[in-house]
Amino acid sequence: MRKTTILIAMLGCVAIASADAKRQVRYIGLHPVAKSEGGGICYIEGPHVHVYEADKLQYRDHHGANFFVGDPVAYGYDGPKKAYKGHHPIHVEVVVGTPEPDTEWCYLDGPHFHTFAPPEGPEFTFKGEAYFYVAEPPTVYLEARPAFVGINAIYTPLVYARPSIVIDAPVGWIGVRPGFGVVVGGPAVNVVTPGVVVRGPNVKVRAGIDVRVVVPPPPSVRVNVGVGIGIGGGVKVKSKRGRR
Amino acid sequence: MRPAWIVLGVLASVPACSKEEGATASEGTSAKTTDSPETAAKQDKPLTPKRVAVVDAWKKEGLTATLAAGSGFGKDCSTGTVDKLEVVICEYGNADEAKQAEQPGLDWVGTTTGAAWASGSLVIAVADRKKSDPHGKTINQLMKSAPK
Repeated sequence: MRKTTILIAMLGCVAIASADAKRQVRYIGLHPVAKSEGGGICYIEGPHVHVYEADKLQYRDHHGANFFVGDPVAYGYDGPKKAYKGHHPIHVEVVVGTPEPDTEWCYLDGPHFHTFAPPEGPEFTFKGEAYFYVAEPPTVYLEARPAFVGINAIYTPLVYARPSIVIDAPVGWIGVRPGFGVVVGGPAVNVVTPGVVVRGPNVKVRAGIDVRVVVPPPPSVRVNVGVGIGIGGGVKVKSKRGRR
Repeated sequence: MRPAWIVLGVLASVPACSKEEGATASEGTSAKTTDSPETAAKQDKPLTPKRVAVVDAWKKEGLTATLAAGSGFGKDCSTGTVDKLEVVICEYGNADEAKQAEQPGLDWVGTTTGAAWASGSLVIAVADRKKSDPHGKTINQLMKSAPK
């Protein structure tokens, strides 16, 4: 009896405490609304607060506020948007209009949308209505990649209208750079499948498990395919049996 | 007898579990003070030109703004509503003071969706306590249209 009473009392206290656990969380820029709050998109562009948390894969810290680096279209965004293919930097200060420089990286594989265009310059090539990152990726991009590439596991199952990019990627695109090919996090599974050749450079790989794209001199791209790979639109896959 | 004492003890500790509640509740109601003679006199005070400019900008955007002098998070504030959002505009001596008052503005917002930002020597704070703006479109309109 005594133990039960204590247990009930403690549970009641915990319930009240968790109800009070609501705290302000800072955001900057447009982002998805938490499902618990009805879902959809929050269209507030400036700094603001909500009482729900931001995850660590789709958001980056921008001077104490959470900045969304995912694809808002996946959550119902219906405003102006720009198409990108593959990983690329985001110059957050340009997007949100703050003075301090802050470059974050988008690790979404394949075609996706953002609400913003990149700043003009040699970093990006605009081809086929999409932006491709064609500059030399810095070490910081590679170092942070294992921590953030898991974002693709969030987007892979989401059904929404992704941009259709059917043209060949430009020379220097990060997706076919030697040493910078798509490497999706997770336990390394190197299952070599002979006879599977992806004719590059327009490669789109969606996967939740380790995928390594090894790039010999262009134009051929050899792919060592791991378990559970989905290869989406814009990909020409050839095997001994012919085109898939 | 002992279980009864335990239950009483736990009940007594419940307010301690929820001690933040009081803080946010008072933040939420700070704009709705009862009309003491002093407050009534304050409410008759016309809005300053800077505040009028903000309200006019919102009205131009088609927003319904009603503001009067009142207590907010500063010494010289106007409170009211824009559509169904609670709004406070506080005026400071200069832009630096206003910038520093953004945090008190966010404290006034409390545990709900909202924003507080400096606009020159003003700090504007908005709180969606009624959850009338679930996608933030009105808050965004209000932030973007306020004079910079």
